[in-house]
Amino acid sequence: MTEAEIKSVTAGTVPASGTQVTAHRRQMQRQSPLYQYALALAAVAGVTLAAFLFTPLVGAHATALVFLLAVVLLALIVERGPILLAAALSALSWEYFFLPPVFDFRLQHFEDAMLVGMYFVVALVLGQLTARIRAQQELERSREEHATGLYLLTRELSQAANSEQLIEKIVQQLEQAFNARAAFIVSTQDNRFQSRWTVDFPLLGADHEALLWVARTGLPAGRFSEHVNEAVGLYYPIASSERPRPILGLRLRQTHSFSARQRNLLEAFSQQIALALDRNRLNQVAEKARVLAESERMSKTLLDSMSHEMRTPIAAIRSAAGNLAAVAEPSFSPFQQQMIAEIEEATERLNRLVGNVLEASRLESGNVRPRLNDCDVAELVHVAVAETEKQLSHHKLSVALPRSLPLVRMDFVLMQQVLTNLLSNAALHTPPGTTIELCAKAETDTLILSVADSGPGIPPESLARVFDKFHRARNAPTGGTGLGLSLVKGFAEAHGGSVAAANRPGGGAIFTVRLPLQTNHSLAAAEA
Amino acid sequence: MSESANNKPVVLVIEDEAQIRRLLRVCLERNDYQVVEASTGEAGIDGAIQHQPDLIMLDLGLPDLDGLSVLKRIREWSKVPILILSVRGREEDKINALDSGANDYITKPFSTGELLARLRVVRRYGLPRADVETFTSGNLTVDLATRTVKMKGRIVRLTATEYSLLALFVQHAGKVLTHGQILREIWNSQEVDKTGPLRVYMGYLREKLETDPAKPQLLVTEPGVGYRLVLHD
Repeated sequence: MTEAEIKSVTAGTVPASGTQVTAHRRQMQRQSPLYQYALALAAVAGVTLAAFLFTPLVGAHATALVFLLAVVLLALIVERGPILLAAALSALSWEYFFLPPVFDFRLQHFEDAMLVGMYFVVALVLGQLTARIRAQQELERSREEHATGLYLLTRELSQAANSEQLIEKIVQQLEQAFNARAAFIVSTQDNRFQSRWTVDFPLLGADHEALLWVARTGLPAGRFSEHVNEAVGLYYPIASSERPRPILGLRLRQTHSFSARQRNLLEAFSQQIALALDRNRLNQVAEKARVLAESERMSKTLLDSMSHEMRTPIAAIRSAAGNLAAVAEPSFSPFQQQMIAEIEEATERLNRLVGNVLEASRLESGNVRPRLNDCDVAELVHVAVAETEKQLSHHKLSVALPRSLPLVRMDFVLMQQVLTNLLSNAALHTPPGTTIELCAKAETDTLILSVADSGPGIPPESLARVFDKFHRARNAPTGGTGLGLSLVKGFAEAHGGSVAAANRPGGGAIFTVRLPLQTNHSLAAAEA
Repeated sequence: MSESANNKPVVLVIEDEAQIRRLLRVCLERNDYQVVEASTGEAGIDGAIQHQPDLIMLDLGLPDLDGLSVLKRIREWSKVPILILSVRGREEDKINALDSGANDYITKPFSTGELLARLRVVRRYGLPRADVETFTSGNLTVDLATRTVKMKGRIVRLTATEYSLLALFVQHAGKVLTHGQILREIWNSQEVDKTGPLRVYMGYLREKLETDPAKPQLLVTEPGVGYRLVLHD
């Protein structure tokens, strides 16, 4: 048998047997005990009436067998109680109406007494046996129903491609198995609930109270349960790892109580649904992680190629312009020399920009791991100042550097970029001729580096966003990369530190970087 | 060494970018070098065997082999001076290359002046060592025989550690020394991240030898890599 055939067979037969089971159960449920006793009485009465007709023809002893047959047939339909009643009544009826002397309970012969007694015992045993077989059948059927329901549920749920489909299938399977309207309910916010997929499933009044109870205690509530049973629906929690837990809602069409069997089935359904929901969520997480890993790989490839592809032409331009400038032939007019200088400056800026873009992407992808070693803050400041010398050439720079600064564990290259970015930011945003103050100092467990300027300051609405990527304050001059300050923040934070921007009372902006001090031996201590 | 017939030193350029190779060729030939090119790592290793160059310039980002393995394979049999071409932000690669036998590095984009200076220094390490007793760079004079250090002709007193540190730089004058190399030589330490004492002693040396310790002209910092004693005329 090919796989397709198996599929079509299971798809064709199983749901059909499922519906049969449901139909049969509905029929059984309609037979209340009273109805069964009435049926037993009616059967005995009917046979008695009929026996008046045929007993004269066949004799009283054959009539006993007819009564017996009726009891056995009855046992196929009704419960044990009505069978006992039918057995007793038919014994009495036979003895009274048909066993001579008729219309008399007295027994003439010993053999007649034996017959009545044996009839009674045989009817009783037959009835019992039939009832037991039926009970067993019923049990089998209910087990099969349970298994089929669960099988259908798991099969359907495993075929759902996404969360929406999964919920749709959950609702469909519940409706089919419990002959009810079903809903998949999620709690939205502050004690409000919403039915997903099922539309006309109002969750008001007692139903809302029942849902609150389920959400709070994790126990079933609503109709046919122990709590808030005046509600229209029955509400059952799903023990998935999702928080808050989703809830199943059932509006059962039946009027008699929810049987233990149904309760078990619902419990099993809830467990399977929880598993399916969790599996679905894990799949989503795995998919997300896969996409993330893929995008990280892509961005790394992009970075590598960009660092290579963009830096190579930049290196070529710079080398070519540098060679031209180095030649400095007197034949170059001032105009030509000016043009070479422009090319060199633009290349420099482009190179810085590419560098910043690469660093920003590295930060973004979480690939920045500081290489910590003990660094001399004075050395750091000197290197940063030397690197920004050209950009700061139109400003006055004042450096306040105490001699007794401790060695600080940090990544020299990253912190150098923090300082150079702060310095070039200050140079870019303040008018030429103004002073930029660079200050380093150590407090008990913090190194504080600050760069202050005497420019126009930062517009108040920009203060909070000044470290955002590509944020540009209003009226900010062009020329920055929009990345420098975000790198400052990223690198400071990679060291477990922080950076803050503020306006100085006397005018101008101040950027303060704070780094935790891990080693406390100062230069003086190291000498000893 | 195989100085070519016209006595120009031969430089093998191992670099995958044609434009950079072309520029290097123009610029080097103009400055009296002879240039041999290789565009892949394998071709570079072959070229090193075939041409016996006086100098190799090796790009770390090659398409076939990574630069570091090319370096290691050449170093298995040759002491030819090797100058690494690298980009900024790859400090770890530079340190690895220097620790694997590269003589120095230069960061792209570089100026021609920088490149020529680097090449001159690196090339010296390929030549037979002349036993110099006196070292001079700018205002600094170090007499290695008498262990005397002078600035502008005036004697500077150094402690034993300061002197050994300076002597190490003099021995490798013009060349970058990684933190790890210095720590191993002077402090006999393998812990390359414990740069504390080194930073402290560099501070002392600069105080004593630099005209302006805030703008070092002799003992310059190579950020994230190490230090270099710069040669001045």
